[in-house]
Amino acid sequence: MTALAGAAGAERLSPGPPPRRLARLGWVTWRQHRATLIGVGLFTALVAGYMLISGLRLHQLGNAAVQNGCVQPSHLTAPCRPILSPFSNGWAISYASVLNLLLPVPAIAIGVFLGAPLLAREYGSGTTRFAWTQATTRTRQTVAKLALLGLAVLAVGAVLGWLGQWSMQPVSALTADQYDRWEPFLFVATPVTAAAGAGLAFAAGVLAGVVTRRVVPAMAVTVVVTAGFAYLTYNQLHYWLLSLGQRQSADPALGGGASVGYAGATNDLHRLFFFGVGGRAGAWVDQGWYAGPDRRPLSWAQLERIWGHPKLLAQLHDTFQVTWQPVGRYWLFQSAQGGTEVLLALLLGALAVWLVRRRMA
Amino acid sequence: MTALAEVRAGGWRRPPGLTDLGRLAWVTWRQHRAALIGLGLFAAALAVYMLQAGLRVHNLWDAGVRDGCVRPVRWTNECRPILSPFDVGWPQDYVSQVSLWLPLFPIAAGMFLGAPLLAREYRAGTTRFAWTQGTDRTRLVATKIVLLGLAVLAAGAVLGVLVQWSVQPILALSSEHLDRWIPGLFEYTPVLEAAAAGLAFAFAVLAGVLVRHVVPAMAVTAVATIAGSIVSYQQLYAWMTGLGLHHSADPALGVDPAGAMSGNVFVLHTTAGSWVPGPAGAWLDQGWYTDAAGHRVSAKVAQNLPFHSVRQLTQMHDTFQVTWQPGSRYWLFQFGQGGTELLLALILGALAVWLVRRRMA
Repeated sequence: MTALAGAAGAERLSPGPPPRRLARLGWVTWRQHRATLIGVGLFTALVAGYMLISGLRLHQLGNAAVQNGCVQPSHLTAPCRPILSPFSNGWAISYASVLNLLLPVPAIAIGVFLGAPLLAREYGSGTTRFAWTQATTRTRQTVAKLALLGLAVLAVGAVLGWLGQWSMQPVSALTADQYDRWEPFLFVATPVTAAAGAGLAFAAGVLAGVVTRRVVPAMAVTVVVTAGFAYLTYNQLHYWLLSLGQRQSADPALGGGASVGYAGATNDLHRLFFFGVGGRAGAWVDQGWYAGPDRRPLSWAQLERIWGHPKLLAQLHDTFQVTWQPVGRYWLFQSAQGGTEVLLALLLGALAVWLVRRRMA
Repeated sequence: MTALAEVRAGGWRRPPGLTDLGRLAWVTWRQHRAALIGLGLFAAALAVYMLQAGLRVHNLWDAGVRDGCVRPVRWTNECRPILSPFDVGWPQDYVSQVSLWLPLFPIAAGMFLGAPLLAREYRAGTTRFAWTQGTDRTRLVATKIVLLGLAVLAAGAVLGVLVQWSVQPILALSSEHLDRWIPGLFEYTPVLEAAAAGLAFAFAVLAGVLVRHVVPAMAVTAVATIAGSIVSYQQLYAWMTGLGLHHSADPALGVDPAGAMSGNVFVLHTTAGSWVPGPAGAWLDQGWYTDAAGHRVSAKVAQNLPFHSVRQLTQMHDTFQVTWQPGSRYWLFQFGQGGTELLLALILGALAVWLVRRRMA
């Protein structure tokens, strides 16, 4: 008796209406992968628990800071010091650093331990010859597995993303020059982008399993691809996305500040406006450079005249130009990144299903 | 005919002078060449990354030496293009990236080389064949573990050398208090990187023997090695560098103790040098203010004392005490931690061999 027939009851050999068929496929999926689902579930629960506990502590500290008048503007006075100290070089900053490294791990784990062995194990052990000759076709089985598990992965990713974003809110509020929500690791820690990232990692793992047909090589390929993609996203793709449709304008306040260092003619500022000119407070600044009257970057020789002498800016008709994104575009970029990753996940999943159909068992 | 017997009988092209060890090494290579090549490619990619960054950094340093910009550091307009990258440019990011990538090598060695080593044999049932050959199971398993372990140690040591070589100019010129004592660089020396890789490998082999299934063994290895890295980085390092601390007064540091407050104590965790007063090259652990009687002041009093000058502190009969490690103890801690990890690896490896002997095939 096949697993599906057993699930339906021995007397019911007809497939039944779609919802019951889906429920039986769901039962089979659970039975086959319960160990992995429990393991991955425990791991994500641990991560979620860590973020929940840290978030509660941070929010408590943040509320205390507000109640004691220690913020806006920030006062590092004696009563405020023990409240604000964790946010300058204490455990709150350590938490942010840990989260920076921890947030991609659940998605990678989902891809490596859930996605990669999903079909690779069937191929590797030869059970495709049995499993895919059952009452339900291989295509339907595979699609049902991918859809059900993919939805679960998206849900888990969304929860982790929400926890990451919620727990970091006090840190972002009190250290906006370091941990604003536009930072790469915080940008992917929202319900939208975290869910999409987890779904993409899962789909990549499944496809790797179908292509390699061996469990350990599929896992290795998945680690390389997902970790590599996360690295590229953090360091390149994120800033490329935020460079689309930028606005450019002069900001003498930013250019006159000693905090603007430079290593070349243009600076990667990657920060928020605090007291932006023209109502740009809260907008995200990409790059800045000293420019002549024609708004082109100054040469090194020209820079040497004004470095450390910001008052010369106006006299020499030079300006400090910045490129920036308005604060209102944040969710537009979130949707763009999340939507692209979900689309890519669907394509990879469809490719995996097509390969399963195409090959002989 | 067994693989070893074929070699002995000359069924293969047999190089002259092969001993049993040579034959066992050949068998080990044949069985695990895919994992070794994959891990080798990963290590090579890391090495190339560090090599090219190190060459760039050393070129900048050499230019700085030629132009008289270092020793001592001179922030003239001519020197600014050379020194600026070390202050706010890509070398700072490079040090962060190294801290991110280097722990992955031990984790990969454990997950993809160590965990499947014996787990795959148990899972597939090939122990009944592989361990009834011309060589007994103990010798076969011990030789595999030793040969592969040595390869992992060697690769880890090479990566550690590249890290230390590539960051030398950055440590000399950075104003971000980067020093060999900080956990992000302390853990990635030839001694500790090799020891960590060896320990991860041995743990993974043992996990494979205990669990006897490949994917669960890899999952256990991943969790244990990642958790071990985090604990080692944060807790164990602080505990180890807290052993046998020296204690002395440091009035200059009392002006602005750059550390988070924990009660009435400042957690310093920084290195004395050009920017931080204290015994040159020493690792500063904690600091606190004392009153005229030599007692620690309360947290409330301590909050008000920073940013007073040395003269003001002296007039108030307060002084700042620090606990610190002399710079000369650096290699003592390196070999202490590395030796402990290697000893633990040997114990875990021996335990794995003992378990293989004890069980029936």
